[in-house]
Amino acid sequence: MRRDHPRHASWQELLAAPAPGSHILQIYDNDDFVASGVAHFAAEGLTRGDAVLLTGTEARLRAVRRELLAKDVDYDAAVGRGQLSTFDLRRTVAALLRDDMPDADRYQVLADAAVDKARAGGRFSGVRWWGETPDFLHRQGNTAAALAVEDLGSAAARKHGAAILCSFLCDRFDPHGYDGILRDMCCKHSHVIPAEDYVRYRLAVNRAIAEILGEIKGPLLQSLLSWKGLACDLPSSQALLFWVREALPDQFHSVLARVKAYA
Amino acid sequence: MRDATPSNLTDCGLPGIRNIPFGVHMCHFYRGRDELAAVLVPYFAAGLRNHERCIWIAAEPLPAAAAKLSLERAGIDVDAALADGSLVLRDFSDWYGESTSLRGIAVVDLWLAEEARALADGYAGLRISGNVTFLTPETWPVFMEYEDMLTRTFSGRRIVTLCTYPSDGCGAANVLDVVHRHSCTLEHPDAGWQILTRIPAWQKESSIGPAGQGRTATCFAAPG
Repeated sequence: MRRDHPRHASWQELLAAPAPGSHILQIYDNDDFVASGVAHFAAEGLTRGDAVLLTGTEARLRAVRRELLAKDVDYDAAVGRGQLSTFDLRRTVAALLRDDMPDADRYQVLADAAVDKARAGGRFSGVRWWGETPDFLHRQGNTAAALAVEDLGSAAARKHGAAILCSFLCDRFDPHGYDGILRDMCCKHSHVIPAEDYVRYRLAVNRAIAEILGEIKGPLLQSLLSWKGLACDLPSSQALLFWVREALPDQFHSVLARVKAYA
Repeated sequence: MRDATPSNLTDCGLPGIRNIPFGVHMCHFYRGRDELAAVLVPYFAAGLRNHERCIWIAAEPLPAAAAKLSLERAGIDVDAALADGSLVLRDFSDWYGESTSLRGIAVVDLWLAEEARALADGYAGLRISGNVTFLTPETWPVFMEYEDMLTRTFSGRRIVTLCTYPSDGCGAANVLDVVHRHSCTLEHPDAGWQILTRIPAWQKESSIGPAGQGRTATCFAAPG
């Protein structure tokens, strides 16, 4: 793992105070985790004086609103003062795509306008933006477009100093993902939230690796130390699974199956 | 004319590893009391030989009383070293008060003050070891932040540090956390010792000390 991405200890900590320019991936396997994660990201942003933008389906935006209200956030007041803005996902996608791929110019125009409006002439200190556009495109079968949107998102986060959070439905126990969509998505982001319960996931990974590979010492330790890792801030539990995939492919399926059983 | 600048290198004390740079923050995973004594006794014996102030923060399975015996068996006059202040040997519970045990900045400041005191007293530097046996899943992330802080803060200082972790308390994810928060990892694969490191971008390669038993270790220059 590269050192220039500060490591995070929990998703709550990461989403409470994301660095400007960060592009965070939330991998989820249940809708409740999306709603609670996005609501935490938004509520902390509102409290800290950031402008918050949410791009999602109607159902998802309703779920996030419910979570925010449960956190005693005055949702309507935040919308009224221009600190909280929502965007319909399907309309955003329709405006963005040309020949089934995102158009960089259109994306930039949309992002620039949204961020400029959200900043409200400097009334808000920072900008946070949650979206599920790549998730939607991937589920529609257009993975190339999903990945291209992530590249545009990274550029927009850097350009505007915004913190962007993407929620993405993905089976982290599917071995194919480690050579495909899971790996690709991780590499498109600065930080990755791989699971809702970090401690449980860590214990599951530790137990599976201990049972299949044994103690990490000697050649295994050397291999781990020389592994380049992924260029993002990834909790050690998830990073280890990528390492096993690369360094010990023959044992990878067994390890992953045990992690799934224990997680 | 003799160069009055003190050397940036010091003897690690372990067979197979010649010199280590001041500022280094090392880790080691051990199994049981004997393995722990096998790394810490020569490490501190070298520190005392090099006229460094040595601070050994002991914990089970090698508490301070047992550590003292281990040093004495190695021929070190422990009572004299304790009396003249070149060796401080305490149990973890005595050294860190409840209030500062996991407050990273406070503990780092404490170490920097110890370094200043050691240098003012004419020592070549400070040599530290702590045995990390007291963490829970809840306190682990905070302590890893502290370890990160030590690596960054000690870089370029007259401090050598070795953190020991019991391997039976460290799962693979914990091992990955630990090795990425230290300058290097000490390993004892056979009769000799070796240094393993992943060379972060802020460290430069150099040619300090080969590994023992013909195995090639990646070595490094002093950080910063």
